Amino acid sequence: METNELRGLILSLLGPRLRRSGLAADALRDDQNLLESGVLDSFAFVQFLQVFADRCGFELELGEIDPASLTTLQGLIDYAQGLRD
Amino acid sequence: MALNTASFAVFFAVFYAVYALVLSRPRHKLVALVAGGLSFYAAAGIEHVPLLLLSLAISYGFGLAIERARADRARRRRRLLLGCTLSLGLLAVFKYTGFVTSTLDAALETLGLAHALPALRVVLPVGISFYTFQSVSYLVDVSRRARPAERDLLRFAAWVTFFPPLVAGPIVRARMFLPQLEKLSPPEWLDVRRGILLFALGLAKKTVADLVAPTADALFRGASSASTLDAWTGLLAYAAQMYGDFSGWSDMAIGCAAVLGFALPRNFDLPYLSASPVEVWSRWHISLSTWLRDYLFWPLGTRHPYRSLIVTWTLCGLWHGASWMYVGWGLYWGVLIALTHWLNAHLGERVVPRAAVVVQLPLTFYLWLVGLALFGAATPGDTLRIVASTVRGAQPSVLDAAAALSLAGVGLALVVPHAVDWLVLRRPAVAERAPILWGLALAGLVFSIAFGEPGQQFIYWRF
Repeated sequence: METNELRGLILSLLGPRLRRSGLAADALRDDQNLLESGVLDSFAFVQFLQVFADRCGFELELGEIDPASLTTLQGLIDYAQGLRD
Repeated sequence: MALNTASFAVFFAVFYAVYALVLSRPRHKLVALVAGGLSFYAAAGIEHVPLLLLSLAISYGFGLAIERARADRARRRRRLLLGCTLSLGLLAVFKYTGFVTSTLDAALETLGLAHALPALRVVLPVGISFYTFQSVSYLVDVSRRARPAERDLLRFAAWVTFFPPLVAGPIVRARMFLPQLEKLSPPEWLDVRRGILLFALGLAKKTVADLVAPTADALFRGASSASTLDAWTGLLAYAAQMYGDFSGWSDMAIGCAAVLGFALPRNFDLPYLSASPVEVWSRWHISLSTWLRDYLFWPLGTRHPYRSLIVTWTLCGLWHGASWMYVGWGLYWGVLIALTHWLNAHLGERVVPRAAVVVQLPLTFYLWLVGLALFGAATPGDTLRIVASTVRGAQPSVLDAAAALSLAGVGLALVVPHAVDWLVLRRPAVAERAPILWGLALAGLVFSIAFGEPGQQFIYWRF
């Protein structure tokens, strides 16, 4: 998937959460921390990651990667693209 | 050595004088920190110093070994597993040997093989849980490439033995602290002032905890005959005691570190103003709950998050104490938190009205009190009796002058520390104005000197 596709996928998965937190999708910055900004809590984060991994077609092992690196839009895009490359 | 003792005051004064002498020499500062940390730990039990050094050696050595095996995934994972097993193995031997043998003994007794095992009593080295957790987080972070392995043994030892949080937290991760030891900035006057304020307020909170402790103890001793008023007064006292004791320790540790020029993570954020079980645990013992999230809940897997959550909290209960009551307490919170997440997931895009907080706040606090009844009672039966007494006591309630005074005192013990913390955390610009800061610090010290009993043990020392 290309960057824009990945971004679109992430924003569509986060849609309900963004609306609940009163954030517009285009207002979410690439470096905004999804946990600290209250879009996701730690539990919703793992549920979101699993759906994201399934949709992108990779196996997620949170024992192997630093979860903190996946808490931003840019971090998620970089991770998914890194796996593809 | 507890932070609320005269001996600590003397120790800190001597240490600070030495530290001030070497402020411009980074290597000497590290040596002073390690020597200070080891002396502090030795004062709590010199026989356990070799254990601290062994834990330090394991995490230092395995950190380097894991980093060397970065290119070889299987080898890296084996080294990580071995390093964590050794670190956690030390904790398991000292903390759970008695629990395992007594559980096995009870099981054998039911099979008619009573007293088959010798009763083993192993003295728990103070702080072992905290430095073990720090060690595990370091090894996992190196394996995840979240930070490089530390090569400088002296700097590494200064992190592990840093004395303010050494015996009862907060849990200080290497990725937060080692960069500070690389810079070794001298303390700024603003941090020193803030540190003094936090230390004085922490001391005052500990004094509050000790003052209400007898009321809480009386409830747990007489659980079977408690009236409704006794149950409420006792549980509220226990809530005030737990908060004052543990957040008091954390404030003192953070304050000491700030005076030395180091920042430690915040460990409490007004937990009794939470509107759900999930929120409580994002505000209480934050360094532990985030540790559990990052190093247990997330690695357990994303396929079955509810199961991972229950396992994490059951283990959290077992960490708090080697007994089935603590396991039950962990399970209680695991179920409540899972239920909260389940409800949240089913709310979809619906927003909970702000007014609901009027119900959520007292309900969450009541659930907290029920959890405390489980945490403090000797048996499940006592817990049930105490919780039942909050609705209908074993005896009629009599609100005489003594009972009213006791309830008012407990109410103050709950409200005042939270109110002061609210000012410090939510209005720092106001709290740090010189007259307010020094007024609060002085009030905290005077209150502690007037009403405190120096040297009263901290509850979290036993974890």
